Amino acid sequence: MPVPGGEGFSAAERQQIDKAIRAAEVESRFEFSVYVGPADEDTRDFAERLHGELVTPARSVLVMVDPVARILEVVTGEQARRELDDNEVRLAIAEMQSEFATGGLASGIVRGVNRLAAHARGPRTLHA
Amino acid sequence: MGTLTTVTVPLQPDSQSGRPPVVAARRPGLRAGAVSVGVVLGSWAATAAAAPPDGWEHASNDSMLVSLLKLVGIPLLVVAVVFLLVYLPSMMRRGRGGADPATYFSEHSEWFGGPRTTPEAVESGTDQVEHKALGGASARW
Repeated sequence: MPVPGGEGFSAAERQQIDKAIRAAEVESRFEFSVYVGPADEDTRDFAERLHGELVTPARSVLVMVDPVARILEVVTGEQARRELDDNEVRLAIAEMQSEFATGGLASGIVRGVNRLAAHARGPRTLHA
Repeated sequence: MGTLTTVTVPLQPDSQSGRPPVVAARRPGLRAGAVSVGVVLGSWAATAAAAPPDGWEHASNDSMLVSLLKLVGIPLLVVAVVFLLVYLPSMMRRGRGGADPATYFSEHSEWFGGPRTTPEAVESGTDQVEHKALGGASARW
């Protein structure tokens, strides 16, 4: 049985993640949520259920991380998916994986959220 | 083929400086004498000492051990205090097991920008979600 210890994220790490989420929402105009904790056996179904509980699921991007099982899920809503396709999500996930592999849980989440927001923003148009 | 013969050329001492050879030989001796006179006069001046005025306090000097303790012990104490102030917080956090957040998240969860319901309510799975329109990706590390 795993022994719980510590306090999870430090205050500075929480602040970094909150700041990254706020910046991502401003940049992309979508809602970003991050869940870190244990998941059910079917992690994809669990992540989609979490996503469905968000305030505006269609405009939301959920990042679910299970540090114990070392599983990472990203769920995009219907509208968010139009700007942030699955290939772009995979690119962000690859970046997060490399950061998680070196033990940087909070920094991996921050990098992933930043990357997702950058892809979700899309190219800037000069003429509307 | 010619034959080699020895040729002797007479040298005139100190012909270019124009000084007589006797004066040139005496110069090192004059320098050494000047230095010796300076050293002797300087040592005489160093030995001159005056008694402290009667109005001054006659404080006794500390022993060698006490002086060493003051000169070495106090700086070491300051270094130790600064070291403890810098590293003690992180050492205490490590002692509480905060180094690996994964162990903490085996039984706890944390939301950033999450739903208004609790994670336990979400995990109960009462609400069914329409999966068709959702996107995203999964991975392990």
